[in-house]
Amino acid sequence: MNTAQPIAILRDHSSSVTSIDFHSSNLYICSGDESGRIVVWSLITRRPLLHWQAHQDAILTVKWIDANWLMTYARDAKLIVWTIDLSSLQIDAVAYNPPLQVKHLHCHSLTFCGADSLQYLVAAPSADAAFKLIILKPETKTITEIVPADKPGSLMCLKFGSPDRIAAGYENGQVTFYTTAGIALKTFHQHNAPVIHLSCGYADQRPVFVSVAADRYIVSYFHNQTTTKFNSKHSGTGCISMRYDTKLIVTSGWDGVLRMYKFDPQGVHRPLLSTKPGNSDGLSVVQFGPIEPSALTDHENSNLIVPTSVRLKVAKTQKCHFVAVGAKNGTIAMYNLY
Amino acid sequence: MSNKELFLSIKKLSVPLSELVLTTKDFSSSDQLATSLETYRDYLKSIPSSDQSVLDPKLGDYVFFPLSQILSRANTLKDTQIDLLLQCIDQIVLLFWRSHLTDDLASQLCFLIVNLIWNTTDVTTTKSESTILSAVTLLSDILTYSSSAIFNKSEGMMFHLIQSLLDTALYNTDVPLVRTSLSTVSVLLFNSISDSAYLAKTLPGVCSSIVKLVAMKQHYSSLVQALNIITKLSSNLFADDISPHWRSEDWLALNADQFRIAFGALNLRNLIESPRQEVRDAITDLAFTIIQECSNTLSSIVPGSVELILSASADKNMSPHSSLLSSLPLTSYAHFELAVQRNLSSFSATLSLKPGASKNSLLNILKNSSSIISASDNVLWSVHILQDVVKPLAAHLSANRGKLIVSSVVSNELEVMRKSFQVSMNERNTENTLFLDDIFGTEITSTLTTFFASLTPDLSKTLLQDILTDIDSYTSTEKALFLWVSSCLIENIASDIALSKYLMIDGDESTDSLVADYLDYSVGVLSHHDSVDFSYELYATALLIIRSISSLKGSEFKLDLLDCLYHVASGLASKSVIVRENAQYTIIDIARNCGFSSVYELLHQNSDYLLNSASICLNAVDLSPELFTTLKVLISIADSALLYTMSDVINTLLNILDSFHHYPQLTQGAVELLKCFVLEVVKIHEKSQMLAIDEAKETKSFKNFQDIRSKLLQLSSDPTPEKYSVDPSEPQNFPELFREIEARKRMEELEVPTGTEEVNREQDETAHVIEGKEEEPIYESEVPQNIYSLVKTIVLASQYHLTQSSSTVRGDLLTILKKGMPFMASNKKDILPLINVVFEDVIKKLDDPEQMIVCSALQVLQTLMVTGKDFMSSRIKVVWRSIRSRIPPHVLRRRGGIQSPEVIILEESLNTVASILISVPVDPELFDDILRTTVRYLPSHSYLREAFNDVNGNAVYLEYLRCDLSPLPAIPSSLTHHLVPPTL
Repeated sequence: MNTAQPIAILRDHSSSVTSIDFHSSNLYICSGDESGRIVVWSLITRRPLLHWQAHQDAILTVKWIDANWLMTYARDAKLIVWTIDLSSLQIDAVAYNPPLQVKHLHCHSLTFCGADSLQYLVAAPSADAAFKLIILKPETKTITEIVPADKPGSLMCLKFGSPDRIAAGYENGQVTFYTTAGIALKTFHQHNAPVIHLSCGYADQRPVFVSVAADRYIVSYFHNQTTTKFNSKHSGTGCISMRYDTKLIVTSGWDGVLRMYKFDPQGVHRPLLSTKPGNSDGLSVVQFGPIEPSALTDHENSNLIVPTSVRLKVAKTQKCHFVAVGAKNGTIAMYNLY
Repeated sequence: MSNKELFLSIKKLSVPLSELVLTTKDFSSSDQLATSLETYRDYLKSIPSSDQSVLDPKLGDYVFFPLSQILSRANTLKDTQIDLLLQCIDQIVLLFWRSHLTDDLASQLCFLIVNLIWNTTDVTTTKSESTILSAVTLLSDILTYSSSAIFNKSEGMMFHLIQSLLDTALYNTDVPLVRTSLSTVSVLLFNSISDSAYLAKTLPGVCSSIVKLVAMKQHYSSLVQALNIITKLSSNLFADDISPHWRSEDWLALNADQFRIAFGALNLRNLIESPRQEVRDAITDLAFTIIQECSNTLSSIVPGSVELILSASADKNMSPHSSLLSSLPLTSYAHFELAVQRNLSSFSATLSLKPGASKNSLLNILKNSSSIISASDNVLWSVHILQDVVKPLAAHLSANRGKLIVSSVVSNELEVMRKSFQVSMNERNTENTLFLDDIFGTEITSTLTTFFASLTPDLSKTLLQDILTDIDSYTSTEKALFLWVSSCLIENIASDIALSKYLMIDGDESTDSLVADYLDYSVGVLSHHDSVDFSYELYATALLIIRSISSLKGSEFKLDLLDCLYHVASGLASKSVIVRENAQYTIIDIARNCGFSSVYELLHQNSDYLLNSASICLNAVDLSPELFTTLKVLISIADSALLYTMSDVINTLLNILDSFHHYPQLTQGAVELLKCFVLEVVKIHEKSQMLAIDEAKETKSFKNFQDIRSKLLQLSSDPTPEKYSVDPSEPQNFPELFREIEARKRMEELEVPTGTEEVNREQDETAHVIEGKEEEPIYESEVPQNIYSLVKTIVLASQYHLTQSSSTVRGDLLTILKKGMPFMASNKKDILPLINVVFEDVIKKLDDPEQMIVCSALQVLQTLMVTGKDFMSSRIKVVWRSIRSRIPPHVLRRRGGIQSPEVIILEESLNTVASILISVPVDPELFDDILRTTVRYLPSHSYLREAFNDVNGNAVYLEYLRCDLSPLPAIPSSLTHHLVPPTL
């Protein structure tokens, strides 16, 4: 079994990291922890740029909505959208001032289900097993509230595949795909334990979902029609992430091991690598970098007069195939893999 | 054709020829003889020589018969007739007699020919060149097919023949004739003379003739043959490994001197520049023969010979004969060295006149010399001569840099250096010697630096690209050399960059890419220090590259330079002097060029990067002494925020302690780091308590800076001596620089918090207000709960590993317990079970064979007493016996100088007693026992006396009285009325 060493270990959180998201430029990431703090990191310096107490309870989701808007959702029942001017942040100093709040919504958050967004469309848990679809622009309004017809138990996770496709994982192990109009397209019941996490990639510009549960299985859903089931033989997988091109997936678990699997239309294959990033009590979250790095344009500062050396550094960073792994001890291990 | 048929056909010619000879009285007037001979010769030439069974020797005799008749009257023959006659005889020799030529016949034929051709004094006018050529050809064939005993009975004739042939070669201009004569001489000398004594006698004549011949002849083939004869003569007559009877000391002295004169007269130094490769090869062969075979007998010629070889090696097409030179006898090395010097100086002198050609020649010489040097087994000599090779090279390159516009030329020079370097590296067997100065010498290194630093930026860039392209194919030592060269070259492109900055334009992007590539490569070298081809030189040169880049573009490449900070910093702890030195200079340059006011500031502000790299190394089980030392420094300079994020590192260290406890060094390193961590956390905790006091006394203006300073001074007056102790005997200990950093940090601790921190704190507080919830201000020095857990884990691990065999490790573990237990006391739930666990193992250490460990155990006990208080009451009885055994009944006096271990243990025991009395309630019996045991020390130990007094002053007074000790303490008031006699 191959192993790998992280290229950096980001340290700033004092409690378990619960959510991570990459900025579309592949130059920043944002992370949230159990104490409600949010940190925006520079991947060039691998240091925090911005650090503030965003919520009074554990963060469930951090997600970049666009280049400047950051959505955070926590167990304090608040969904806040912040606007962050990344270009104004000092590269060699940490700012502690909270950024400006542009949206502040109250949501139901009795469970540990996180929210998700696709551009300005947000899916956030509602009462019981229901969830709301909220549009943020041009004005904030709830489009619909989706309530499952059957009683699948609590809502565990949400994941957008496309503007017209969203997957919801439930406590009874089922995954249901909905349209944004609230129509249930298909329900799969492949897990026999609560669905812990969902992820999505794009094959032939069509979404492919994967899910993990407490039952050792990784289930993949091809275009909402067929499924494959893979026994990972490791229970306690807490998070899954699929690369933009659906060729790789990574999982992290409470055993503190990061596992990477090959993925193709036949489903998940045996692990390509298995590694333990640092000495932590467990891994809480894992996330692949954004879209294909080679497809990224230059940093937004490219029009400014910046030294070539800095441009080289930016370009080098943008080309990295990052995988970020958040641990329960508050560290985030950054890998550059495949 | 059968034998008979051949006979019959020859008979048809020989019978008429015989009749003609017998019937003709005067051949000079007869043309028919020439015609017949010509016919006869032509027929003989037409006979194929392939079928030897047909060519019977007796048939040859038959053929020869008419010719013998003519030969007997040869004096009357004309030149053409003689010529034809000799050609006919030659054909007979070649066809019929080649394998059956008797010595007598051969000798007679030679005699006849000599008489026929060279029987007059004036040989030049007697016979035509063609006739002489035929004669010489015939002689050559005869000598070739006859045995070596041909001249045994005719020594005089042999000398005459040799001289005649040499004269022929000397005085004739026809090239084939000269060539044939010389080849015949060669055959005669080396095939036909069986006794070398005869050969020795020919030496003067032959040498004399050949010197003349070489001086007169310009045709290369003649020169080559003449030189070959000299070569063979020297080999046959002067070889070191032969000792013929005739070679007496006198002979050798006389003839070697003559040979030297002849050698000098040959003027080979001019001939070596001949355009003909054959001539140069012949000269080189002669030189090699002398060096290899006659280095003792002809020692006076060896230097000249070596010089010839080196001169010949200026030709790039010529093989350097490295394999031959590798077998040079030891005595020749000095000559070789001398020759190299002489060549280089002569070439250097002509450089200004003919820069192009001379330069190439010089380079070829150097290159070949370098090959020769590298092929030599005598490494000591190689290194020695290297100084002579590299120094002129460097001087030359430095002087002619303006003309070096083609990078390939410089590449050649680099190649020469590489070879030289490779050789000299073989000599080095110690790792801690200095790098290039040790190899090339200070002067040469300086010259090389000057040279490389003065190449044009464009050329430098090209070279840098070339080097980077090929560098993976080099060995480790070669990589080190080329990286060193690169570090010089990188400095050159500074001018481009400086111009760009002046014009406020962005510099050439390729330059930045190149610099970035070099930086990447260097960081790669530093981070793969466990690879197979790692060497300290390579590490040092990689540091050199980083240093150059930091000087060149420090501010722009700041991020990249900070990325490699860990590797540079860990270099400070390297075992190698050269790495340490380079790391020091590099880190100073990085600090200076990246905008940090000091190295401490650089390390302190970037300790997160250091921790990042160190933790990755730890995680990869890439455990080295440098890693542990760097982490130790890192922990000592890290601020509390960073310290609190080190849980993964501490957990890894604990894992190491568990997994590698059989490896003493690893265990010691891990325990030392854990100790440092605990000490730092405790220190922060103490500071936190001090600040709390400050807050409480805010109204009394206690925040006055001087007060804080004095308070902190007081705090720092009780330092943790283990942390700052430096054992210079340990190589892995802090380098000088780190000690300075330590000192600076301690000074900084005494200063007030900076404005930035206050602003941040304010901002942080503002953030809480914005969120609408007022919180207690969080001070940086407050210790989070997870750190308590971590320290607890460390304390438990320390207690578990107290059985380690290393006394240093045991001492460190006890220090962790001593400092960690009071820290843990703030958590009331945990402390008592923890004391319960630790106590059991610590009292076992009271029986440790190492007395210093016993002392440490006593100190931990004191801590446990103070921390545990009531909880320790029942446990004192267990430990008291052990303590009592360490307090002798008679008083051990302190003496000047170093205290004995017994005294130290006694003092610690008494301290423990005081701790017990102050902190733990004891029952009266135990109190009495303690008092009786220690009463003799009460007069001299006031703290102990006070401790006793606090518990029961009366008992102390009475015990004083009982033991008749003085001075008596003041009478406790409670006892006074018992002592005053009743009023009568």
